[in-house]
Amino acid sequence: MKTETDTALRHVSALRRIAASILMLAGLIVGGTAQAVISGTTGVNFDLTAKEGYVSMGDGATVYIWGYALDGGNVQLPGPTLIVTEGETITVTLHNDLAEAVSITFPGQTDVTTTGADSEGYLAGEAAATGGEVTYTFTATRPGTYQYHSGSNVGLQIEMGLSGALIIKPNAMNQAYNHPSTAFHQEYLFFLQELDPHIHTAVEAGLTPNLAERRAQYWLINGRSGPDTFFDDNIPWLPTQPYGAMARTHPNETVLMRVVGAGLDVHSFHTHGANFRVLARDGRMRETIPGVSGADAGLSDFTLTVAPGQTYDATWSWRGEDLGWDIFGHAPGDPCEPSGEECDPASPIYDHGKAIPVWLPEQQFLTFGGFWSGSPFLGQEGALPVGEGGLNLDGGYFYMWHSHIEAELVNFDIAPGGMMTMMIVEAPGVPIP
Amino acid sequence: MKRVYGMAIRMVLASLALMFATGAGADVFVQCPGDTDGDGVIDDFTDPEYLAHPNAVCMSITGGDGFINMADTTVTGGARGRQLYMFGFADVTGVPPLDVIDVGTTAAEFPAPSIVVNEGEELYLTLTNVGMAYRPDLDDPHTVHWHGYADAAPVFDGLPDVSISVHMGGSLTYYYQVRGPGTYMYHCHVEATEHMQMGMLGQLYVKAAQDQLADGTNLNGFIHHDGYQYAYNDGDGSTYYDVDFPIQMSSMDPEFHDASEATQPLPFALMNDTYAMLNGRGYPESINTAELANTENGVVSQQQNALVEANAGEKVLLRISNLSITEYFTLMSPQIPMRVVGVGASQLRGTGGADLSYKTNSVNVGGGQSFDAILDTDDVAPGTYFLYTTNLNFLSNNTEERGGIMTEIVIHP
Amino acid sequence: MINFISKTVNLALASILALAFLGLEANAVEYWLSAGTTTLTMPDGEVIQMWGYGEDTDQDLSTVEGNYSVPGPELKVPAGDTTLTIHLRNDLPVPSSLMIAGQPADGTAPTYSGGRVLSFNDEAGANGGTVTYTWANVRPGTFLYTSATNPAVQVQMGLYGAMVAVLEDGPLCGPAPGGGTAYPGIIFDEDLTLLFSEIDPALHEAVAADDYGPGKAITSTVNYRPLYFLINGVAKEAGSNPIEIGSGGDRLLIRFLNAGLETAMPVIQGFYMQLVADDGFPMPFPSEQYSVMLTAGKTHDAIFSLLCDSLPEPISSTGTFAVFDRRAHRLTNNNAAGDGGMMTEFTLLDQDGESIVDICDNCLGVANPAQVDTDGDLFGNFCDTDLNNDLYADFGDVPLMVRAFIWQEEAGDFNSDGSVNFYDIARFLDLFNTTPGPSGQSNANHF
Repeated sequence: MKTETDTALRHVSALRRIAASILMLAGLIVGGTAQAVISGTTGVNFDLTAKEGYVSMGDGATVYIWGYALDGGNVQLPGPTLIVTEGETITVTLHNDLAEAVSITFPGQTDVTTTGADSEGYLAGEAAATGGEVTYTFTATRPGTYQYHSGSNVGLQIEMGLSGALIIKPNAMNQAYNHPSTAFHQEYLFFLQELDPHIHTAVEAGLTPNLAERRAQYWLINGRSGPDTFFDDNIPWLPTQPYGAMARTHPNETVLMRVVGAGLDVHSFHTHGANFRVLARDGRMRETIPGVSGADAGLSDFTLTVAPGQTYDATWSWRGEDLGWDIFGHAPGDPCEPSGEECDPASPIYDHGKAIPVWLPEQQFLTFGGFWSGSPFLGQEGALPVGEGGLNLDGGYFYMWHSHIEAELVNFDIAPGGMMTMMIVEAPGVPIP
Repeated sequence: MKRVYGMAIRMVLASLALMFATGAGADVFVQCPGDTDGDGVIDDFTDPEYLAHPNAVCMSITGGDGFINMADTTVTGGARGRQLYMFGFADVTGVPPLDVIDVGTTAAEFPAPSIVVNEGEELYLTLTNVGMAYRPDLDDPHTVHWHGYADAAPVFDGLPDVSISVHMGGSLTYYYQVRGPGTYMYHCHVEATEHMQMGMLGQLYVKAAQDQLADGTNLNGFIHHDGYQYAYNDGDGSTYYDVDFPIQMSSMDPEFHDASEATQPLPFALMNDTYAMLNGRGYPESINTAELANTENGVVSQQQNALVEANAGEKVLLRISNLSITEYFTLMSPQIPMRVVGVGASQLRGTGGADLSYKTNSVNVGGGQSFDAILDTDDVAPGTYFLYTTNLNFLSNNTEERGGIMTEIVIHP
Repeated sequence: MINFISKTVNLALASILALAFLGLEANAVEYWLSAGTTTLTMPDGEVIQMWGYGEDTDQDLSTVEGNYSVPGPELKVPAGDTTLTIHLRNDLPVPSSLMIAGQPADGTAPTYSGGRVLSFNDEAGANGGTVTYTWANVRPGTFLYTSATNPAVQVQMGLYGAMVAVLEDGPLCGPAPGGGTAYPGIIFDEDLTLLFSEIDPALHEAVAADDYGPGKAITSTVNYRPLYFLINGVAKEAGSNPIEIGSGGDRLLIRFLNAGLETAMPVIQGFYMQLVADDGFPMPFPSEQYSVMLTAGKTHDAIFSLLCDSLPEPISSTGTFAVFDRRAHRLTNNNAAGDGGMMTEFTLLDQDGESIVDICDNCLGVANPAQVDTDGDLFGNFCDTDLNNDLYADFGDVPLMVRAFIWQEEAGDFNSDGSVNFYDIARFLDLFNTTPGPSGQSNANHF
């Protein structure tokens, strides 16, 4: 990586990361990043327009896309996350500003009716090129995580960006489904897709590429490639990629991961920090007794295979117990952490008051990550050399969630980037907006 | 000859680089309770530190570079196939600290030295960065990421962006209280795409505490006896096995390795892994039980093989994992069904205890995934059976056919 | 057509082992197949040389048959048959073989050369060699049979097909034969095979030109680049016929198989399925999903419930619905023309042509578009002369027929022409001493 070309590329990447760092820092200082709710648009009537536009990749490249825009606004990648409530009748009106017919199909919704279609696409009624309109209506019968995508010229239009997430919330608060086994504290969306920029360039030039020769070069979460995934939602310099992917929680709380396989390739999504537990696939709980047992038949794993078209709901929780040392850096006589530490100062079976059994090397032997607080302890800061760290002022524990096909952790030829984001476990008491 | 000469120059440069590192205070520092001479072997069982950590186990590894050979011997026409430059780990447990850099330099192994620990132990794993002798222009740090370690804290999670990584000439001791049994894996997480493509990955698995029960313990009707082994603390003997074999899939892009060796720009976007391997070897080297030395410096850098052998009637646990950074591989045992009892170092049980284990002939293993699968050989006639990828194009050692991800399961009478 | 059960003992072919099994005639099934070269023409006009299996119709393996297909013929093992014997003749220019992944070993040994396995079992020599395999204890389920010789080449070339064994035969509640029990507790009325595969034309061209192999232009298949994508050997093209389903009740068992080297993601547009089996093993808990992850060499079985009540228009009136690979860049025929590749359609059968699909039709075999069912027993009037609803049309129904005739009651107006007349009496006599129906509505038989 120390060749001249490479170093130059690295330099660009590094600048970008530094810029990201500064912004992250600003964001963290005001506590504004990583909303614990999923950004999107709520309601029962949605007005989408298929149109062309551009998105920005983590290496600074600009890629031409087709996407769905909300209420005639910017095209966006992914399309607007539609957040609705169980039982509602949902109407989606699609206008078409593109030069070929488009449509929307809603996998998992079994009663979609189409009105005003100009033509029949392979999977759905279409809005005609340049000005067509079509309306889809369905009842949000079953809660769950779903996706929507074009049902016309399906391979090309999915590749070009015509897809989005659909979340049907149950009437119960803070549950993914109508069963207490699906309760959560925070929820996040991980909408996984990949792009082959050569196809996009060809389409922009008016050519019709051969999809069989597709080879993806950008890997995205919520429409962004790393490190852009770390940024807040709706940042002004990514106007067509409104959704960030940074996530936050506290020890012993439960995170709901809504994972959508939206592209055309299979991804291996690894959660650093702990195993997740699958609740549901394709919007249906994994149950031993259908309709009765709740989500009790999902597996626990540290890497999730997410294939195109699938959705998964899973819970993830980090406890920080049984490490053999106290993550809070307590001395034996200190009181226990009031919020959730599994702790009895009098009992040796807990980690409370135990020191880390090894010495950490002196600074000159170490490289420090930007998200390293300088301290191994949760919620604490430690001394760092000038210019190191600095992006973790609350002393949170950062975990990378990423594709474990590491070839997907690049933005074209520049590493690192691609399909990665961070899950932050904040110290108890650190507010999560 | 010219190439050898070039190497020699680079070796000198590397030595200089290391000397500078030493000058800056290089310090091989192996932390291990009860180890009095710093070689990573517990030798004083009365040491107060050891007495405070009587379940301690220690291992000392280096991160650096080295060479391996692929299995395409029909292409090279020699005893070994194509030589590839690599980054990797080497086992230096037992090596005195003053010799660690010397022994660990250009001694990388593929896969990395296996880490096999028992539930309840405390693992003191020391990583010393010996630098890349053939790439003196590089000063990359390294880490160990115990992939799948539950409730990891960032300090020992090995992710450089959120943690600390160790420079050339330094040592970092990772501390792990060993808990959940199952099949994990480990790798360097620094510049993961590059360092893993280059070979810094290996096996890591945890044996269940249930193995250590007293003879005659009744596990809900299943009577445990000394020597019985289980993939998980199942409570009913359902994950009992007689023999276990780790089967780790991986792959390499020779153009990437050659570019790295030649200090050329690295082809990330064009990455194309054409050598697919089991335990670091393509077929038929996967069934060769000999340890193999590389053709560059003679280091025995491919110590593992993937031959599975058992006696008829035995239960064979395959600890299957994949650390390819480009490919999913579907691994098939067409004649002997697999009973998958765990994934992701977690027994296949539902939250209410429902048995989610299942039988199949093939598992699809993505990068960073693991499967614990038991072959029941009760009704299997003695003979030779096959375990291979149904992504059939990877039955290749690059341009050589009839190779790649395949091994044999030999059932003895 | 496939010949299922040996009626004669062919001494020329039967090994001692086979003889022993043939002695238990009811428990054995035997196939004669041959492997050879054929071609497939892609929708874009590209002619691809393939290797395929065909049935050896004269069952003597002595002549070249030439009827090779891709995929090969579906091999069915009827319920109760626990031994399968396959005789293979190889007309390819290289040695070849046949294995069934998921079935126990076939009793032959692997073939080696130079420390490498050439075939996972015994081979038939090139240009007319023969071999016989016998599988005892055949396991019910859905399986892929393929060449066991250099599969990276021979499976790609087209040597694959489906092998299906059912646990129990027989219709359970549907009106048509063909149903059965696939796995313990998994019953179906009708089954259907969807076999996914791919073609990388570069290998086929190289093989055809003798450019593939050690020392030749292409020496391994590592740079696999499939450009054509097939379901049941067909790449979608304009005018392709949809697959007809729904001939027998409401539980369709779909047997998904992937003979390709990449993962496929089959989706049935607008419906969920119950995934019930994996490589021919029942899953511990069926999984409700709309997509099936079908990795290379994998088989999955799914129950697709065709409930008339929940069928949207136009599917209930013989419209089509899509079945496709959600890895949608594979919906192409190696060009930019759009829809192609791994896509097809289902349409529900309407055998009497009244635009009411059979599974909704309360009287099968006769066009009764009005679907009048006066007594609401799900047997349409035209099929229902059982006026007293005792599930048999006999003398007990005569007084009611007479009353219907006199009072012009709708229940006796079988042809729905508005009056009970001599036509209806003729129909009553026609159906005398029969059960009502057949009705395609699955609950009808339970009344």
